[in-house]
Amino acid sequence: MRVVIAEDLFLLRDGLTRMLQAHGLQIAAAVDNGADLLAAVTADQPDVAIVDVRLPPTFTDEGIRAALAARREVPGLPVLVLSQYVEQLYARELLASGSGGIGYLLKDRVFDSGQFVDAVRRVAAGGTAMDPEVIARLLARNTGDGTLAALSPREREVLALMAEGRSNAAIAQRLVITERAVAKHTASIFLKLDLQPSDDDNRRVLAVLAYLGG
Amino acid sequence: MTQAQAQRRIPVIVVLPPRTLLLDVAGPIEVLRRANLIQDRVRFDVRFVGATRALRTSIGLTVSGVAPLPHALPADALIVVAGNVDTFIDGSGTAADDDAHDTMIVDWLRASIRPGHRLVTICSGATLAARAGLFDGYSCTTHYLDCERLAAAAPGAKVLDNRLYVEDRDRLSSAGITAGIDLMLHLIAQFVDHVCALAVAPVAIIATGLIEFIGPEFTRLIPPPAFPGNTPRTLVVLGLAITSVGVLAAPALLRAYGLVARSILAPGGEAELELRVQQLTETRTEALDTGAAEIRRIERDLHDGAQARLVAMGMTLDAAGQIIDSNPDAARALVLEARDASVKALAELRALVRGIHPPVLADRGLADAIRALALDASARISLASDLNGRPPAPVESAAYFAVCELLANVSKHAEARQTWVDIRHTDGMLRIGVTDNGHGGAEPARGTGLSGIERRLAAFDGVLAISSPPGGPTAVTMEVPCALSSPKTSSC
Repeated sequence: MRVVIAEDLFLLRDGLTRMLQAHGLQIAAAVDNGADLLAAVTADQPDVAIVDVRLPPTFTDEGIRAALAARREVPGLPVLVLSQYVEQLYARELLASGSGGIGYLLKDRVFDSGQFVDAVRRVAAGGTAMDPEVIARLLARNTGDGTLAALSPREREVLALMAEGRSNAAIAQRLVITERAVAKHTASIFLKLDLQPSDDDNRRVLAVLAYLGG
Repeated sequence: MTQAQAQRRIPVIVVLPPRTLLLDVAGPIEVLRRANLIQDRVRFDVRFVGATRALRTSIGLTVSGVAPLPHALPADALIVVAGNVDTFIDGSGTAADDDAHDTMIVDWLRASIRPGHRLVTICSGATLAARAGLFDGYSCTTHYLDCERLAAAAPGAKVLDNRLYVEDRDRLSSAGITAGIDLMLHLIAQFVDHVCALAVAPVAIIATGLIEFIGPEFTRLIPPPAFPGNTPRTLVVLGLAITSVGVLAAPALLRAYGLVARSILAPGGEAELELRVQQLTETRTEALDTGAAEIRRIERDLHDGAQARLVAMGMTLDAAGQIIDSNPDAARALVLEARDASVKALAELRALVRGIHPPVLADRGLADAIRALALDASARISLASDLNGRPPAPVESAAYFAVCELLANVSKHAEARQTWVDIRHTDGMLRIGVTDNGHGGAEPARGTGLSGIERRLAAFDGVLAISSPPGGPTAVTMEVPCALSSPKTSSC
């Protein structure tokens, strides 16, 4: 799997490169600004681009804009955006940016390299990796107006993990329950929230996120 | 015209004869009091003099503290001679020594009035001045019932009737009662200016209204002015003409009245500056206090939060290093513990940064920051914004936190189903409206929230207005003067 990294801080760029290489991923390019990212994704056609939100020259949301531009340039390009903080606003913009895997994670998530590499692979495969903090805030908002009142506590846990983009197998592993139990929970959730069930993991995630207003 | 210019002081000597008609004194001198009150270029120094220390006035009220007739008068003095009545309110008439006192005054007038002095007689006061020969060769007037007596007292004077007042060189005389006020207004216009006279004029209007109120018996005291060809037809034509002039002139007069009122009531240039300095001193102190308190809070949060966690991480890693050979499993557990501590430290730093300067605000500006806020809120918030640039960062931040506070208030107190946030920038003014359909009844005085917002905005000359009737809706409008920078100039 070939990866392009856009991260302006040398230590993080270097650390990410080493970590991904250690997990057997190939680094096609590691750049430190948006313009070079665009050039790299067009030239190298990577399987996934990992982009920091803050990049020169503005050090604001340059990374988000570069990621969106990269997806316009290379339709369907999987992009994983990393940030020191996460905002639902940016999550929505990324989700609305067309087809292809999308990830939006706090930088802290790289501390757990296993989980992080799993997220990279999921996005590269066209899936979704939403940070638990984004999902927690989405759920808090929907709990406030009583939308999720019908769900049991366990169903809410399953819903949160599903919204992060995890497969039934991953959810089962995380909650230490069987995959069949997860399937039962998801069926119940879709019924209660009146959502169209889907076997496709990613379509399911997007339906849940859309439902939650993400 | 500056403050440095010397104030002109005009000595006014008011002569009170026996049986003084109190209105002759009270009305005109009230005009001078008002004039002193509303301007400081000319000051009228009023003294009351008479033949006796105390004297009984027309209405039976005794006035005391009357100064003796002075030996000499200031060169530029204004001498006002009040009128008097024959009969007091209780029907009693002249006292035994009244004539002697009248004569004292007449003699004093004759001896004291010099060229350069201005003599003002009110109502029947003219008769005393005439007896002193002061109207010889002058035109003058008095109360219309007294005109004959005046003519008899001053054969050398030209007595005019049907006049409110007559000014002939330095001798001024008014007709009865409230005509003295008109004469005094005329003098104010001369000594000060017309603006001042106009400002004092409501006193005269009140006096005229009084006559209307008292009725026709009283108004007969001032006879209707005579016009040539006094026939019904000419009167009708005249009436129509006066009415049209009134209708046509009214708007302009009202405008003039507004200008005069503003010039008198509104603070002048210097007063305005003083107010501004005072306001700036207050808001600066508050801004510094708020800033200092905020810095203390950040310091405390860092000290108790991220700093403490970093110390713990260092100690944990040190412990792991010491046992890594002897007990690798325990060392591994310690390293994982240190990693978790770093995640928590980062979470705390994120929360702290959000409170100081939210990242979306820095990245995208006010509208998107509020949009992000709305996405996190459980209440329904809709946002409309026409900003096509960004306010200066401090204004943007103050406005953002003000909206945060207002939205927090709504969710805490208002039980609103929907909140609307409206952001506009017009005519150099950032306007933010926050309206909710909750139950209203928000009072700025009750909580510190709204007054805190007010103080925060005041540092930028911003204001906050709130309308929150019981039952709702609540509408808060904030205005901060500022310019927007072009969206293209955000690079640093």
